[in-house]
Amino acid sequence: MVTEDLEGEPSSRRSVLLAATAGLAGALLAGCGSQSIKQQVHNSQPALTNDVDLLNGLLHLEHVAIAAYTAGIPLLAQPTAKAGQLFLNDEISHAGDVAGLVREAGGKPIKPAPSYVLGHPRTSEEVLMLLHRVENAQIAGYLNAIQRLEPGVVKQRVAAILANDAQHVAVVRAALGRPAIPSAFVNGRD
Amino acid sequence: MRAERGSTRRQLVARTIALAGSAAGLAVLADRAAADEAPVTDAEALSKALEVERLMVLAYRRVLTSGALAPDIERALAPYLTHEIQHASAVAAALASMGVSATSAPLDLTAAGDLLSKHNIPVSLTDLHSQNDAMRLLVDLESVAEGVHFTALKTLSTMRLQRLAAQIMACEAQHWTAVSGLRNPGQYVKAVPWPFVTGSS
Repeated sequence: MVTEDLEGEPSSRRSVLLAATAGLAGALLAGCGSQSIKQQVHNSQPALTNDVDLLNGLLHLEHVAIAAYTAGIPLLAQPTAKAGQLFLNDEISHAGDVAGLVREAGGKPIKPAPSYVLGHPRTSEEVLMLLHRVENAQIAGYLNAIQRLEPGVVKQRVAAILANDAQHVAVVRAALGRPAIPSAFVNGRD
Repeated sequence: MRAERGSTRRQLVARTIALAGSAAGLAVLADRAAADEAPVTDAEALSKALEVERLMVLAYRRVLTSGALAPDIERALAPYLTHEIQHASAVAAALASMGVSATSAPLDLTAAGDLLSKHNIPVSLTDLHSQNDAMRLLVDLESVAEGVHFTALKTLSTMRLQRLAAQIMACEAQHWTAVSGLRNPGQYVKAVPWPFVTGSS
């Protein structure tokens, strides 16, 4: 069973670490007023790298989701399997869009890993529980990213994906027999 | 659930310019176009969001008391009124923290009617006769609610407000899916039709 990849916490921790690195670079830059433009551009790289890493972190979550749906759909009972196929297509679209954002930020999109550790779900319910964790991890990741990415239009693109994943998790929860929308504020933890 | 806000606004301005035909009219419209492109403050973006959330509260209350809903549908929708009340309270509190006086009470019917017209929703909140009409109204309004927070995200300046807008927008998207799902049982493609949610303007 994947733990690091699905809980959301490790990616948040990584982002905090990167944000701290960027902040340190900013402090160093502020203390070097006489630097050349070239030096300043060089020293501003950590912020750009942070965006690329943050976006590639989101792309990783999309790859995990694609793997989970691909592996899990055959085990899902009907009609939930139809929803699973639909959501798999959505995740593929999300991955394409996030990869585009990585390129726009000057980075190289990460490729899917050959395999992901997804545990050994054997029943439709176990697959749904896996998908619930996967979708929640994505929601937590996107909520974190929205607060860090710039400019506003990038926040909007990420929010458009977040809202769709929130729809997915509502359907998954309903299929599990849980309240579909347990909170007025989506947080990736419900 | 897809937005066409930029082109719609430009088309409206262009159409109105063609009809105005006077120097005075052109001057007014030029000011309006400039205002459209002016930076939006956090207070302005949140005020628009609050107006929509207050409309949502009124709409859910009217729908839930209309007598048009089957009991199981009414039970399913009731929690969403609570969510909308929480959204309105949170946005009003954010405005209050900026020193902007704001109420989270539901809109009055006149203001609600004006806002429905503005968003091209041809339904009266005092004339909800069928379950289908009532749920169609909620779906349309959930799209508007998604859209107002989506738009706000472009300009909101603090991480706290950005997170709040994203959380509420995602919840409205879940409502959209749930209400659409109730209207079209088992048809997931109608409950989650697009991979990207932007709402309507």
